[in-house]
Amino acid sequence: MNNDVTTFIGKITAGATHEMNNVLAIIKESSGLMEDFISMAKPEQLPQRERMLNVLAKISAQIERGVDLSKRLNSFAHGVRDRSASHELNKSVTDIVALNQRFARSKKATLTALPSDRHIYVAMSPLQLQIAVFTCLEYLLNLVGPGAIITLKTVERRATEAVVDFVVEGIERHPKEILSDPNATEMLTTLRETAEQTGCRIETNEAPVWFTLLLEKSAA
Amino acid sequence: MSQCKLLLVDDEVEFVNTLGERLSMRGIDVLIAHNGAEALKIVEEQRPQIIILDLMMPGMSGLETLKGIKAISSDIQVILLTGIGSSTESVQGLNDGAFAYLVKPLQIEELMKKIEEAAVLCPGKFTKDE
Repeated sequence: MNNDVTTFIGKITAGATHEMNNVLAIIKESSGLMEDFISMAKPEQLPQRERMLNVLAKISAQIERGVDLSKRLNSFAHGVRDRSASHELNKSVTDIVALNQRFARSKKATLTALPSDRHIYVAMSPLQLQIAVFTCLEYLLNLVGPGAIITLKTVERRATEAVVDFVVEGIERHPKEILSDPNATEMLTTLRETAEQTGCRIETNEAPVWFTLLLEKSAA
Repeated sequence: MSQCKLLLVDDEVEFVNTLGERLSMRGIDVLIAHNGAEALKIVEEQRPQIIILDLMMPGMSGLETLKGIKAISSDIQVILLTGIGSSTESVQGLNDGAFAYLVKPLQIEELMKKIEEAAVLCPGKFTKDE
């Protein structure tokens, strides 16, 4: 993608997420003030006290959800503008998983990340990695049916190589049957091309690890 | 808490007014400013002991306002408020003499804890009036 376009998208998204965070901060303080008022009232003044507090707890939980999304979207926006040739893999994969929950839900699939307990730095820009992982995810979500549990597991495989394993569980059809479908084969070819364009490789595996994205490690 | 003034500085009017009301309900004498210049004027005239200062403000930035505050009185304890993606500015603020920084949206309990810690360092300390 053109650098000017990605910089533009990154700047607009970063600014908007900052504003979204401010909106959430105002909702949080307003909901907190309401909670303060409720806690000051005598029980006979507020017979619906518990129900009101339950509603406020729901608002609070949604604020936390919104804040988490804005933080990850902000991080994504900065990644889009980041031209550096090295960054941390676990954070990028965790962010991508969080930002793709809606796509997973629309396919009735569950999407989780299983990051390594060690920092792993890879030799590619955040945007290249985001494109590679997203394309793999999109491919999987189009193939697996409802009930699939997709886990993206980051592993430091060798001194020079890190991988993202795409683990699929909870489906009834056998992976070989799904992958032998002509559409799946064609999509896999496109997927391999995208991976190569972004500087990584794809290795197909036996279930439950359907395939693995191979990445070159770099210094921190 | 009483006997100590706290100044809240943020350009988000709804945020600062609501947070101000919550802090007042907790016994704190709250002053409000919506930009850096207004904040410095209040600091000159009313000498608050603690300031809660947003880093990302239009016009005079939070870091510029912090320098202005410290130039008026180095005894004033400043707690910075940061949004997402402002970690560099937060660290710069600590280097420039801020007491602490908190990330928005705030947890009121965490903010109260920081205010109490900052109050210990104030010349005219807060006293609990509950």
